[in-house]
Amino acid sequence: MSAERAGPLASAAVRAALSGDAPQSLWRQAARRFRRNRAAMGSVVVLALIAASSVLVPAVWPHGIEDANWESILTPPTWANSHWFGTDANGRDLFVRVFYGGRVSLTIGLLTTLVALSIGVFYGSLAGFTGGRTDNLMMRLVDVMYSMPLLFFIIILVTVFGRNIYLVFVAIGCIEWLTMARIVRGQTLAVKTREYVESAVAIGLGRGAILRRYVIPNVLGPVIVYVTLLIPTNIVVESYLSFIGLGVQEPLTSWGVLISQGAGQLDSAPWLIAFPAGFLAVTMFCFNFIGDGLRDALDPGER
Amino acid sequence: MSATTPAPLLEVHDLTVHYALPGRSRFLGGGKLRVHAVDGVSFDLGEGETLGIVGETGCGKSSLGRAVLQLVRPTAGSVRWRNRDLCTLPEGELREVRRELQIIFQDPLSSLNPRMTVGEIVAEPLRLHQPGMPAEERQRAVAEMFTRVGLRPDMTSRYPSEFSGGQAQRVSIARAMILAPRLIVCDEPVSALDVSIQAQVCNLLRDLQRETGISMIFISHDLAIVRYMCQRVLVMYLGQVMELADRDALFDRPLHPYSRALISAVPRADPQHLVAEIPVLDGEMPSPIDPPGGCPFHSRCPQAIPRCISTRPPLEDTGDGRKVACHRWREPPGSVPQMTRQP
Amino acid sequence: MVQRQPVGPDQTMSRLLAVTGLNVRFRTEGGALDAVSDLGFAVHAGECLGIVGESGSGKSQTFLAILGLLAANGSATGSARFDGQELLNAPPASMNELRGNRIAMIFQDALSGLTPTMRIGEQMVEVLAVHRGLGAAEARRRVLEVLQIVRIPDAQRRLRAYPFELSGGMRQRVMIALAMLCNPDLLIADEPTTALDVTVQAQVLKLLAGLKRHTGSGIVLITHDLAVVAGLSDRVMIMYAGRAVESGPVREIFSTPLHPYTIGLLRSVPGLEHDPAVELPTIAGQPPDLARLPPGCPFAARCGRVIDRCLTDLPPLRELRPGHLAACHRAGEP
Repeated sequence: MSAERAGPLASAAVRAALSGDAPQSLWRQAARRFRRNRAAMGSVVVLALIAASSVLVPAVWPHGIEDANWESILTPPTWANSHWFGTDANGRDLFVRVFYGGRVSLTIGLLTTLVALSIGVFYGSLAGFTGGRTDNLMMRLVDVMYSMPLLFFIIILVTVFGRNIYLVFVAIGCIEWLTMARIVRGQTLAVKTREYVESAVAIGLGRGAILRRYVIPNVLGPVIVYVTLLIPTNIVVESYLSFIGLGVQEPLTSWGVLISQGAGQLDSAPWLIAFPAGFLAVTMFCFNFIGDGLRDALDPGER
Repeated sequence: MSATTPAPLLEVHDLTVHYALPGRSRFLGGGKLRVHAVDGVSFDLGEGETLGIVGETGCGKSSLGRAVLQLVRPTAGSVRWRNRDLCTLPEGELREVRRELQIIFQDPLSSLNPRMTVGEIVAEPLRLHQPGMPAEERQRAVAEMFTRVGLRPDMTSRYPSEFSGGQAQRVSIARAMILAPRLIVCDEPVSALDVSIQAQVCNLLRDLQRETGISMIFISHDLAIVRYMCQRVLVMYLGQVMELADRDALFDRPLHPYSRALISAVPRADPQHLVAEIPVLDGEMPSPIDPPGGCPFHSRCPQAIPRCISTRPPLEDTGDGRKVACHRWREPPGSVPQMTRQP
Repeated sequence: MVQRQPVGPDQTMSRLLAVTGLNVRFRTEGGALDAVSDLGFAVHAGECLGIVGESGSGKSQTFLAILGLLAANGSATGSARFDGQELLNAPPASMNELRGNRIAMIFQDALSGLTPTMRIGEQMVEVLAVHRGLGAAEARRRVLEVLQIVRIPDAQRRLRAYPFELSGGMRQRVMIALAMLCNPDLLIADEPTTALDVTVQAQVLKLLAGLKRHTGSGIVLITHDLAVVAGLSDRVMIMYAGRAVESGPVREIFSTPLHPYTIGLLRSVPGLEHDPAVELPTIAGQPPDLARLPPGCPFAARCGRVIDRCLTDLPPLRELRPGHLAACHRAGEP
């Protein structure tokens, strides 16, 4: 009954097969569904613009990020002098600083997520696929690490190794892969019992090949969705660390650093917090819309 | 029939599969709860022969099929394939033997990797076991196999989700057959298919068997299809063999009360055969976790006597090549006084 | 001779459900899709109508449409009158009043028909409270009575069980008990035994047969299995690609089937009488795509008796023998 109810909806692909349209891999079908999602596609465009500006603006803008202009301290946003977003207490141009901060924030978001992704997928799929005692042991280790607060962990790292931007990557990546590993392990356990994995065993395929070609491609869907949600999370974590002085340090800057500086002058120069916070918020929204769009595109049945 | 059967290719002896229920260990009592999926099953299978395994959900027939192929490792017993015990074979050698042993599953869509094209799926065994084969030759072999199972060769670049159930099952069959295996386990291969497609797939399997002389283990709950496909039939209940007999002997004169109940419960495509008049077996199969002692069937058997509750009947040879596990098989069914049962 | 109106064995019998000109259409990614086309039939009190078809034949969508349970992208037109009241596109409130009360349903997947977080007893008592306004003690008495009828052993204890604690057969029996609680006039059973084992299937079918005999309810038995229909139904309707291709008294359908699809189906099911040495005749090919139905007979592409006319003209349902209709240009030819 449920099969038949789904029948007329699910048969689009069968229909394509009978009519001789191009083959439809699941990825391609998902891409088609994603392209139809306006919010997600709009977010991709906005995000691409922010990313492109973060790369280009600091390179072409007349002001550098550290150029202090003592003539115009705390200028509100103006078209004059190319201080579009105004200047800070040192007369530095906020426009270039926001995009430079975006460069740092986005890079940290991407790189930490990449770290979390690689460790998490490897660790989680290995644990789930091996199963038994190994799985148990590996996941208990994850539980133990989970119980360690991120802030505590970072303070230890900073006191031992001193302040260092790479430390921020390591710290965030080291904590965030735990959730990724759990997600991947859960998916692997589900995929492992599917009959196509069993039939790969029956063919005589080795464990490595089964993991690589049968298990991992089929757990990637939820992983991709989680990645799009993890990037903004990590950007916020970085902002928060910078805000309390543990993250990116001057002269480098990031959205978190800018917000932290702007917060001190909220009354006298509200633009100092408004612009970086605005960009941060828009970026978060975009990633979330993309995440939602991807989830709908990859699992159309689960809406 | 069995007298003319050639020397067995496959000998299964006392095969036992117990699963430990995860996370259900008795905290202080020690030891985990165990599911007795397969309990001491023995049979053999000759070249080109089809053995049917019938029984209801949870009787262990799927576990038996998987244990024969070592997809689940048996707890005890042996599976001798060409005189080598697969149960003790090291992983590497077992993988090599697997090219001769294949399986087809019930759900055709979930047995195909959704991220691979059907062409890649069918080519996979070739790539693995004949890595030296040139790509064009492999493609030719795949196309040939597609034609043989009734699919168009130009469908190879499509993905499983684009296929109907019947077509997907043909892809599964193509993948299983491409290495020319000698034994194929079919686990409910047609029960997920539409009625008009079931007969097509059954006939395809029969044709392929006639052409290649492959041996087959055909697992199904559908007695009519088992009768159509198999020469010998093994009736299972709660992980144990109730009866093992040639097809005609079993269907014409079932000796075990459970075989009789199964056969009489099959609905007939005949309006004269009113549902209301079908003799119905009460109750359901007991749980395979801590199964009852004695004969596993005693709780539902209309002919149970006190001995059935206390002693497990051995699988006896009846003298004409069939085996039955019932204390009372010698008594003709009509003469057996029925035990009074509560409604 | 052309007969599109529902035909019963006896027009004087009270007509419980009369469906005429029913169309069910889905909007999908690939365009509109007709799941049910121009369907007409009737169900009378005290009879069992068997509806046979494969997946995609529209047999389930027909009743989902009638009961107002279509998926969001589906719409239905035509008419379905239950005891004189129009059901199609009726307001949800009036449907809720009928469903589970005068019209009851049993589904293939009994687990999805039961609320997982409520005990069996609570669910059954609630139905009686909602539809009949019975008090707790009275409702409980009725629930126990019904559980006894469906032969659930140890009913008192089962009342406290959650659905997942019951076996498949037991769950299906609880579903049937739930359906019987309010003495429905019409019971719709959609593949009630497909998920069950043969011995349990026989128990459930027997239960339905008893129900028909003792309560006088009308029963609609929807299934893909001709054999299930044979021993229980009074009349049978065969559906293919959203249309009725044949309908008639059960004995006629099995003894003198008229439509090539029915004939093919009957032949391709092995049964216990078929000689295993003889190759099973099959119906070649696949059912058509509902979004791209051919202009003529939907079965033409798979039919062994196809003529030119079959490819262009849709054959109407014709009454070829008393009460026995078939939609085939060549039915009735020698």
